[in-house]
Amino acid sequence: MKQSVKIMGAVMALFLALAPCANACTFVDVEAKDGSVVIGRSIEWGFPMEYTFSVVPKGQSFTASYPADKVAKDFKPMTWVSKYAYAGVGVTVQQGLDSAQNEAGLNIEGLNLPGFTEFQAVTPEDKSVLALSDIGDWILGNFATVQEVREALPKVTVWTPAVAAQGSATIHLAITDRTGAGIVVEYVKGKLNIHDNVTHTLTNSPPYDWHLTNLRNYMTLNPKDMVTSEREGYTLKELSTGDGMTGLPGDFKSASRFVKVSLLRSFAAPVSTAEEAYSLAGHLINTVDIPRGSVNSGDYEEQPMLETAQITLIKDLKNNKVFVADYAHRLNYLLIDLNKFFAQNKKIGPVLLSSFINQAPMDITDAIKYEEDV
Amino acid sequence: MNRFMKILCIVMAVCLGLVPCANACTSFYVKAGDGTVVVARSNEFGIDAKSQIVFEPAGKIFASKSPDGGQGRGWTSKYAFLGINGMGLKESFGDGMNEAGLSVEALYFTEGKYETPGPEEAANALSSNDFISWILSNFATADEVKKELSSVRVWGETVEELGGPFLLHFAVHDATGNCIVIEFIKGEKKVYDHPIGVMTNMPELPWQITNLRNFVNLNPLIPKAKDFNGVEIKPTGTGSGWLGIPGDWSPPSRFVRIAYLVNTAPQAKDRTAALNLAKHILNTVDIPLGAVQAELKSHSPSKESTVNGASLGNLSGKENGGQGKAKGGGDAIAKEYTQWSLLLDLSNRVMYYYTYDDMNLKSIDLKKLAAAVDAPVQFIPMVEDFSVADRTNKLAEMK
Repeated sequence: MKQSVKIMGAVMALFLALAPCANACTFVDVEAKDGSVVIGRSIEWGFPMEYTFSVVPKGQSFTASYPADKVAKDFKPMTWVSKYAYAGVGVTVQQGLDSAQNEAGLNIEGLNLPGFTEFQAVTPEDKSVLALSDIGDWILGNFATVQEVREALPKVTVWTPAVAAQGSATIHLAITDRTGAGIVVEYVKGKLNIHDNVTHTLTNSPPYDWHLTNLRNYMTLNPKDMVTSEREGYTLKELSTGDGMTGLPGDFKSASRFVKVSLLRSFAAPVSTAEEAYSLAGHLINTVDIPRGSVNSGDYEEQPMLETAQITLIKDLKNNKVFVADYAHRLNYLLIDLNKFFAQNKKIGPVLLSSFINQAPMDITDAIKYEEDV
Repeated sequence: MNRFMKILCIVMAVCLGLVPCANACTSFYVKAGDGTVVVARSNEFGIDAKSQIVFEPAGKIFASKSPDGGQGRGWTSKYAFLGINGMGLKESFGDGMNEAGLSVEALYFTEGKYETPGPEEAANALSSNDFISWILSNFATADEVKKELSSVRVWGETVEELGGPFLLHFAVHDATGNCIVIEFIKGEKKVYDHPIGVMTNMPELPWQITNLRNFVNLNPLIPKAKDFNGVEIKPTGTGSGWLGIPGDWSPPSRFVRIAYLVNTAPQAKDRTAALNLAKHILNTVDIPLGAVQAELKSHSPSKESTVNGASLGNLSGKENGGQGKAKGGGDAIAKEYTQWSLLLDLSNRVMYYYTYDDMNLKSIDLKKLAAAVDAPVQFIPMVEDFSVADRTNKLAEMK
């Protein structure tokens, strides 16, 4: 078995990723005046990962996995047939969630929430039981809107098996739909918490409500210049534009990225079209880009784990598009038009994204003409 | 009502909590190598609260009210204590220490909400204005307080001029160094063990503790020099490892600053060293008058200016601070300042205090006071004029 096939063989569900170790992710969504809802999302890790692309057609049957020793004797697992086709990006290591959207424009992003996430305890009374590795398939195969998800999630018990050596998955979800509505789904102390994603952003620990309170510490920041300040006997003038944002946290920890992206999104000039929204989402995600070497989650010199945005995604929920770039090719995003796959309604993948992402910047040298040639 | 009085009322109302985070308080403790526990606490306000130190003897009968104005919890005090009052509320306290070495620090907590005991719970109802008296007069340790807290339901008694209760959260320290914190959130009492011991204001304590995790990089050591293509870039000086410690006066910033400074300080060896260390740490949140100002919106009540019957006619801030400097549109500015600070030696039951104008420590030995049989309730004003220990004569006497 070739290495790549082995990796794919290990893939048991569509969305694969899991983060017992520290990793950084940032999510933001923006809305254009034409109604386009566009997501920007980065996936950071400190060790090499392979990313896959998959399509699940509608009409596919699923059976949820459950802890056999916890449920009642006559327990019947949840089953469903996907009503919507969906597609997205996963990681070839373990079951879990990463980033996917369905043809109705519902999108789900899994980001790490270590130290706080605890999924639910399954008891013999529970009739509807889902493993974390099922939740992406279940949500995207069954629902079209955030409101539907908000109503359905409290009715299921979500558990996750402890993975030997790495502990359990610790994930919270940013769920967004084509209208721009968004929620953050967190399981803390075994309890489901659904937060309105009022900032339209998400990073990592601690839970969302903590971050929202933390924003209150940065209310002085604004895009305006301070201009001048009269003191007794002298006047101070600003050194340059942008000084109204003095104090904007510049480091890469989760709380700082949340503040940075949330405030920058709130100050962003309105965008009109999907194309402008792609650009805005891309620029917002750029502000938390990690030049390789700046974040070392390993053992420093001895065993460094240099985190980077291994994959960056820009996703259009209205027009069913995905733009993808990896760290080595961040100069250009590549486009996948999901409409084609949704129309064909066939299963695809998981296929390794690295076999497609290899594009050098477009060479326009020959397109530039001397004046006399024009 | 003239314009001046109107502004006073506005200042009053706003300083006391109608505007969130309108005042700042900080508390923490240090424990010396010889076991001495010293609690430090500052109290900031935009107007002169005219605080007094009150001595309450043991054996006194207390009677609190229920929300409907009827009889609430009543008790006879086991322990004598010293309390700090303010704003004309004679026997409601914002801080205090009892003869068993227990202290309570109340700090502003503007988005708190007290419990709502029903008529059937009247016997357990305790007015928020009596909460500190109840703790200080009944208990010797933080553990005792924790055990008994569920026996009372603390409701928010409206203070007339505030249009609502004093919104506070409470740190309880004892002579063994234990600390618990009590917060009232969404009508529920929350009790936390709090070995870190630091308190400021909003938001709630669990948030503040999580926030400490954002500053674990802070380091008293000077960072190493770095090599930039053969150019050595050295830190400019000592203290560089603290870059990023928040220097402002917001509650989360003061919480982080104090917690890390307490954590970094080598342990004081005895009582005097602990008092000295606590004072140095408390100095880092001192507010030079003018550095913290609250803009007062003119939407406040325009009632005659009394608080529970006490005339506020003489109320003033510092300089022009608390009186409110009229700006366009009738708005005003209140300048917040550290009105009084306490160092409580819980091990020896001595209260030390100083005020904005007089930074010299003054002390009251509670053991001596409590030993006076049948001492009645007594009041002394806290604020005194600038004083200094003059050493000229000492020099002149030297030959």
